[in-house]
Amino acid sequence: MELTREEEAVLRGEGGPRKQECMKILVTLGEMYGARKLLPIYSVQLSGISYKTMGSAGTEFLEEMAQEVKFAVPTTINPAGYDVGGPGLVRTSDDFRSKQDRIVKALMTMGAVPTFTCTPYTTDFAPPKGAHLAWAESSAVIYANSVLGAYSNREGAPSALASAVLGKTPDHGLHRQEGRRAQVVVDVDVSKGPIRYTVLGAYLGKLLGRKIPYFRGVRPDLDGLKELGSSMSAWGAVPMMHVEGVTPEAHLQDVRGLERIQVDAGVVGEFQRCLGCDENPQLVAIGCPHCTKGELIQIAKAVKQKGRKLKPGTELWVCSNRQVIQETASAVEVLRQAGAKVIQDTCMVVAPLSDQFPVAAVNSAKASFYMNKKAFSGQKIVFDTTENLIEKYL
Amino acid sequence: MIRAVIFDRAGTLVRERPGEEVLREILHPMGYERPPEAYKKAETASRRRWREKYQGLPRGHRWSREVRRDCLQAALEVLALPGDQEELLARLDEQWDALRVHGLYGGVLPCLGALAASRIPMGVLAQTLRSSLEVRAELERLGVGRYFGAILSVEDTEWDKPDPKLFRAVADRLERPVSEVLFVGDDLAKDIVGARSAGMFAVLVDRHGATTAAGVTSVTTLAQIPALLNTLG
Repeated sequence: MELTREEEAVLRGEGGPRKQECMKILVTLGEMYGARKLLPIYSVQLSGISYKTMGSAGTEFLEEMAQEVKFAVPTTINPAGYDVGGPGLVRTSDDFRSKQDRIVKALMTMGAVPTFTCTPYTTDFAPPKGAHLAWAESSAVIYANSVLGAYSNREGAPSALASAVLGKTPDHGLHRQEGRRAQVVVDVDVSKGPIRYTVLGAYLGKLLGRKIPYFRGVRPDLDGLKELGSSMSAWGAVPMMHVEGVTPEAHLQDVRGLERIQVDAGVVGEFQRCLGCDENPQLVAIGCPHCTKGELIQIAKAVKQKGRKLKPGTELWVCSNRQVIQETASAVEVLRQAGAKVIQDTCMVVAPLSDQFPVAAVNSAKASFYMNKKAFSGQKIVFDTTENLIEKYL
Repeated sequence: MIRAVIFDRAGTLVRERPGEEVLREILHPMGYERPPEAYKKAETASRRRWREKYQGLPRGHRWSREVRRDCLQAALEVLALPGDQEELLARLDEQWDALRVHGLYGGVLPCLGALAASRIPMGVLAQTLRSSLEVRAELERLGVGRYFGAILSVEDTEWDKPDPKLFRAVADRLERPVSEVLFVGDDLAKDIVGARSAGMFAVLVDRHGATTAAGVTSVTTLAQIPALLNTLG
């Protein structure tokens, strides 16, 4: 890689051992993937900041980093393991809280922005079109690349942290036009019935792996794009998608000769039946990824129309970020009046909930993927639409 | 009542090695040593050549000897090994398909033996570039070909998994209605969705317990299939 004189100096250790470590990570990755240089970045999104995911070794590493370095660019962070700045609606042990607090303290010391959300693009920290990013949250990466026209690879925790410290990322993959080309055409046939974007995304994630799809036959709105993308990136590792007539780089794609997949309501419906079991949930959780303003208002409308309170024995969580919750105060009030918990700073996936709620109902295939995963939460999942969940449990 | 069982091939019955491992296994005894990422890059180049040049060919022609040699040539170009390139290519071509298959998974033999003893007809539905005859020959080599009354490769059809027509075609060859067939596969989106769309029972093989599908029955080894069959009636 061709490094600037300043970057070379950091690599030699002139900025201290921590910065040197960070530069080594970026240079090693860059050389592995054929990058010629480092790019300056607009922002970083750190994922895996819940103690549930980070564990003690990660916490100690972060604390050591915080003694020596600061973030060089705006660095937003994913949800924590409990509602750290909220009214204490999420029950966790004192031990877990104190460990989570250590992580938050270390991140704040380095200069992280306390967004605590997987949807930084719904906050003031949304990047402009064309910005280069080093984001680690997979659902945010696919949204940034596909919908916002920003440029980010799917960073791992160490590379995102290194990028936050140095304000740079290796110039490869999704940062380059050739890395953003559609690789497979997905023709969606909606003539046989409606298709839920969250399920379509999960199904295609399994089929596509890392390939970039070009969709024809659907026109999702922004919330639909969020659902489709987040599921594809959780069930697969899809970093970007193009949707004909919808996403900003779709018209640049030449799809002649590409592999083609046809999807209809039949297979997607069958895949949906694979996602959930038929048990009684203790928790109904909506907001994975965190609800946008539009989604939160829609849920409140549905709850208001129903005109009833939550059935006893079940908790209803609606998860979103601080900014969205503040900006939808009246909808939030409707939900609270109905007995729902409007949760900020954390979510059903990264909070340690499996003991309290062994069976959970969700509307998101991304949530289903992580909550059912034995090595992560191992919860039994009831899977349904938002409307049906509200109908059944209010 | 389950009266027939159809299996997916790779990942369910047959363990396949990643291409980069096969490259190393062939080249290492010839005195060539490259870092693992070099073999990975070579394998990627080989796949890319297949996608770009041969994916669009008619079925039955997509993995001919000429195609295989050209794709392996792409791998050799990336590895840039010294020596007689023709000889290297001949060696890769000769050994590739055989070394790609690493044998049967544990649990396969007891499962097939128990089902055969119960006189349950069995079939295979393979998502592969090779023909049904080649798949049969491979299973014969592995010592289990005799168990299967029907073997179908997608390469001999117009469809890919999870198209339900494929699943029905194997059930037809076993002369059993789909409602009496259990399909066993390791891929949720292709095997389970396809089999269930066709009207079959389906069981996911999830050897590492990484299941993320609450609505699907899973096993960690095929040895659990005969007992599971009893619970399905």
